Amino acid sequence: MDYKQLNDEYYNVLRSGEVPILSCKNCGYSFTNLRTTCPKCSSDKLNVRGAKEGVVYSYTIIERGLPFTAVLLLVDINGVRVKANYLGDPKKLRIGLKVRSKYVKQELIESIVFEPAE
Amino acid sequence: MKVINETMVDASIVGFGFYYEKKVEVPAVELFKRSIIEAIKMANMEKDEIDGLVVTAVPGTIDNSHDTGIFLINKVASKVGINKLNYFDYVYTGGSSIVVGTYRAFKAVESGLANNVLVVGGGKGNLLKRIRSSMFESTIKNYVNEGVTYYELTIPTIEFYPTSDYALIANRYMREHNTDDSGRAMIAVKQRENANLNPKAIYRGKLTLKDVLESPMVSYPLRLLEVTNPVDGALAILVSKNASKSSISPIKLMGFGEATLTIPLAERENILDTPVKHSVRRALNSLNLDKIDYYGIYDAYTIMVLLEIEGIGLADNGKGGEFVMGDSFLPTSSYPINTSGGSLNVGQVGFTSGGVVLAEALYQLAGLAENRQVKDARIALVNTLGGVFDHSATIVLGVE
Repeated sequence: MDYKQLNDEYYNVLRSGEVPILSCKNCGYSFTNLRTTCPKCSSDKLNVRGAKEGVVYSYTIIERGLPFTAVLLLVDINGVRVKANYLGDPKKLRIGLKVRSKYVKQELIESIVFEPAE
Repeated sequence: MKVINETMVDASIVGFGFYYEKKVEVPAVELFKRSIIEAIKMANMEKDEIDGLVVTAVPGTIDNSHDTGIFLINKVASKVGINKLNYFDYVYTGGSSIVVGTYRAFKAVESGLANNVLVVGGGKGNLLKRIRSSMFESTIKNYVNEGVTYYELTIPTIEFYPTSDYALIANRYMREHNTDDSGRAMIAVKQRENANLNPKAIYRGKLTLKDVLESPMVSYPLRLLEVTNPVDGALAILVSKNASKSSISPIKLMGFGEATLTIPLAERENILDTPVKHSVRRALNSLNLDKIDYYGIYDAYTIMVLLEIEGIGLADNGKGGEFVMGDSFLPTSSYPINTSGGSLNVGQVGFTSGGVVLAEALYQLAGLAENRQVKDARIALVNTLGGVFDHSATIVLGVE
C-alpha cells in the first residue's frame, strides 16, 4: 500500500476516535503498527479499519522517570493489541477491564487514549 | 573438511579487565583504556601484539554522544596506543553486545583474521541517565521540528522505555501464572546476599523481601530495588591464539547462540514468550544443564531474571519464583547465579548489564572470585538480553 495513502487513512481513523487497525487482504493478519507491508506474508495489500472497544491485557502505572504519573496499557481488541495511555479512573484499572478509545490532541501530538467502558 | 580442521586456530580468553565506579569525571574512552590495561596485564602481553579490536557502547554513554561506531574504535585504539589493527568491529545488539562481540573475537582468531583480539564495552551510564531524564521534552520537540519520530510508527504514547515495557510484562506474568510479587522480588534479595560477599559491589548491606516490596514504586509492579542503576566503567576481554603467557587458565568457547524477536511488544501474541529458550538451546547444543557450574543471567530488572530462568530451563514456565526461593544464587548453592551481586548491586556499567554478568563468569572460571568463588567452576553459561526481549545472546565458556 502506498505510504501516503496509508498514513492518511490511519490518521483519519485515529481522528475519529478509533484505534486504526491494519489488515492484510492476503493472509488476514491484523496489526496496529503503521507498516506498508504485512509482517507475516509480505503482501502490500492492506486495508485500514477502526475499532473502539477492547480489554486491558496488561497495564503499568509509571511513578518515576517522568515529570508526572502516567498509566500505560496494552489493550486487546479481538486478538489485535495496541499500546496506549489510560485516562480513566485509576481505581477501576485492572487486567480484564473493558475500555473504550478516545481521540486526544496535545500541542501537535494526536493520539488515542482509553477510558473505562464499564 | 579435514584440511579446515587442521588450519583452525584454537582461540581462548587469556585476559580480562573490569573497571567501574559509581561515577567518574574522566572521559569515557579513559574507562575503556583502564579496563584494557588490566586485560593486557593479566594476559602478560605487549599491547603491540594486539591486532584486532571489537568495541561496543550504548549510544549516549560516550562524552560526545555521536562518537560510536568506527570513530569510537579509532579513539579507543589511539588512546591505548594500539596502531596495527587487522580486524575491527563495532557491535550493537543492546545489552547483549559484549557477549556477541566476544563470540566474534573468537571467530576472528579462529579464522586467522587476527591473532590477538581485544573486545571492549562500556561507557558512562550516568551520562545517558541524564539525557534520558530530559527525553520526554526533547521527543516532543523532535516531533514538531522534523515531523518524523518513532511516534509515527504507531499511536503516540507517554512511556518510560524500557522500564514501563518490562513492567507490563511483569504485571501480565502475575496474572497468567497467578503469582504475587514475592518470587520476583526475592531475586533482588538473593543477589544482595551475593553482593555482600563482593567488596567491589556498589550496593551492599542487609536487604529483606519486605525492604524490596516496600521500596518506592517505579512502574507498577516494578519497584526501585528491582531496577538497576547506571554507573560508569568498561569490561575488556582479550581473545588470543596463544595462551602460553597468560596468568590464567585459558577460557574456551564451548557454545554460542542468539535469537531475536522482530516484532514490537504490543504485537507479540504472548508477551511472556521470549527468545531466551532459542539462544540457550543453540548455545548448549548437546550439552546438558547439569554440566553448568555457574550462571550469569542478565539482570537490569528482576522480571528479566525470572523469565530467563524459565527460558534457560532451570524452572518450568510460571515456576521461576519457586526456583528463586529454593537453593540458588549463592556461590555455595546448587545453582550459583550472579555471584557478584549482578548489575542490581554492582550497578549497570555503561548502561548495560551484559558486561557485569559476563565479567563475573570470567572471574569464576579464572578462579579469581575470592570469597565468592564457586568450587570447581569449570563451565559457565551467560545469558544476555537486548531491548525488551528483542535480542538474546547466550555464551557457554569453559576451562579444562
